[in-house]
Amino acid sequence: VMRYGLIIVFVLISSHSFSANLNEKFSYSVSLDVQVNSLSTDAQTWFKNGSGKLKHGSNENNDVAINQLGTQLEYKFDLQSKIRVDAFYQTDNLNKLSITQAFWQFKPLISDNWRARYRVGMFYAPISLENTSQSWLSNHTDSFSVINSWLAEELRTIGIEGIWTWQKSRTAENKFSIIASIFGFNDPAGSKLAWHGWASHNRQTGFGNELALRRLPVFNTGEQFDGQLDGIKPFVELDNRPGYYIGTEWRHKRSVKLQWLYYDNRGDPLTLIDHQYAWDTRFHHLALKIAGANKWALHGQFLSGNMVMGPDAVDNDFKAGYFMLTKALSEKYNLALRLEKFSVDDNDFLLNAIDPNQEDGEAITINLSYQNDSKKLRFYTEAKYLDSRRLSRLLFNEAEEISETSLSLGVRYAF
Amino acid sequence: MKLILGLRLFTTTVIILLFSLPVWAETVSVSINSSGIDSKAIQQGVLSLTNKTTRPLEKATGNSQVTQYNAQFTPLITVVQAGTTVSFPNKDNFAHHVYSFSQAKSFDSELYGEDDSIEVLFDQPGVVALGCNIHDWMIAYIYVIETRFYQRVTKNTVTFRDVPNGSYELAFWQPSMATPFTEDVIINGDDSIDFRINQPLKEVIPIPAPEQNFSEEDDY
Repeated sequence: VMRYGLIIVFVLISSHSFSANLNEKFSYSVSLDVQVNSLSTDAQTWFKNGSGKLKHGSNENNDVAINQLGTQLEYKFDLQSKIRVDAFYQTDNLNKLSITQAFWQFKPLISDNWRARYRVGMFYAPISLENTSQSWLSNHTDSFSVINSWLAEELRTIGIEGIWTWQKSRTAENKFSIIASIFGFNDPAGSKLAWHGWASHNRQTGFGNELALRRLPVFNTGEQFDGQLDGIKPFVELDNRPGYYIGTEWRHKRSVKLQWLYYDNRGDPLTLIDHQYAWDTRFHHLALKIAGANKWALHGQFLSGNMVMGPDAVDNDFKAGYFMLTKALSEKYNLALRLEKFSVDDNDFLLNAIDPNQEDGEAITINLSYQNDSKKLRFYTEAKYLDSRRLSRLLFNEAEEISETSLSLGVRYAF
Repeated sequence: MKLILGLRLFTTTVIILLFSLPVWAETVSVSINSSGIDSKAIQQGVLSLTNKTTRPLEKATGNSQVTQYNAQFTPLITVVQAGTTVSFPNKDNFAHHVYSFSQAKSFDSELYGEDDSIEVLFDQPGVVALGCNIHDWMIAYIYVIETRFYQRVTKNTVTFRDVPNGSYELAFWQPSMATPFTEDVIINGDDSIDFRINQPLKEVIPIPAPEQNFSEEDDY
């Protein structure tokens, strides 16, 4: 059912002259994003236990809503160390308050050739090329790619990370980095990807938060996974086995970035504690960014991995990738075009009748934004088309293939 | 007695004669021969003549300034005589920092905000590469020398005026060089020197400050 309407948004925001720097040590930024969506989808969003892939589902058409209300707080102890906390207020009923990152960062001065950065706490693995704005929001689009949406949903480093960078001289054009991390509290990573699949949105899960989970037949009493909680708690430690990631990166000026990273949460697939399974989720990730003259840039992220849970109960391969072309049309207008493909391949034929995780799909996202002179107000329109085929929808008498279209108009006020 | 008087007269005459000869060079012109080297790199160079005997006496007490503005140091290259104090005013509305790992002056300032400044004494000769730990792309050079005879290389021929005779070190430095390239010269009256520079040199272009929506978290 196509239900497009003409939408006019009036957003009244008083332009207080806030200062983002109270002094040189403490700084904060706030981002308020109000949006209206015109949706064409038969599916309910997965945030409300549906099988839809977008943030909003069929019954939220033309609703004006707070899309994001986030803040990033920073306190610099001295120039080598700081703490940062990212928090969001969510309007859906899942979790009202989310602390999405909270970490201490230490950048010691070593030499002209070596740089080091250490982070301790809860933070994102440094793989996203999109989420470089405040509070880990994207600079280019409203919804993240499916890869970074998955990170936002159920991947977080709760541990320690080091990045060591070498350059030949202070003005060298090339930088080479090694990335390494040891972490815990992410054993369920993979649950959401297996049981719901990929999605594209901007909702970041916070510490202690619980994710929605559609009741598949496999969770019914007497079935294989009847021990699973109604939701997914992504950030818990279950098996006392730390996970790790290692990676390497090459940067040429600010125009080229090539990164490879291998992630393994080393979950023990046989652990089930407090109605939450541990998953062994591993993937390789490749990121490439090329920024050219004339203010265009090409971004690409590619992820391929496998997840296992239970005694050979769930065994899925997963893959996703996107290319995004961004172009600053002028000082004020920015355009982004993102094309992506994703899939989950279910290898556990035994349970396929009651727990089919097979899916594949593709998406296209176009965003045009306008920033005012002070760069505090950003008006944008984003069109999105996502087509997905997911076997488990048949269990709910839904079509296996669902096409979702959304047209969003929004304004983000950030300071 | 007459003999001694005669000797004295002779010595005095010789001394007077010696002093009436020119004891400095009105012009010393140095022609830089740098074929095969990028002319833009050469134009970032500094040429200096340092008297090898009076060198440590050439201490200055002046002031100089390197500004931090738009997350860049300006100017890129500052030449000072040893003994000069350099101030680093912050003209940005965010905090900056200054550090150096260079042998001639190794230091590390506190974090300081808008319109604040720090002062650093540069009393040892050498090349000091400055940085800011918060904004890693920021770079500037302080070239500390022990002579008042120095000039930026804007043309292929550089002329120094009123240089006392003596034994000198002629030095060329450019920011892609860790240490200056030197040659010993004797100045005895007006002179023109051919100075062949045969080191690979690169023009140093500081990395520009990033776009506004650049994340500090991305800079590691």
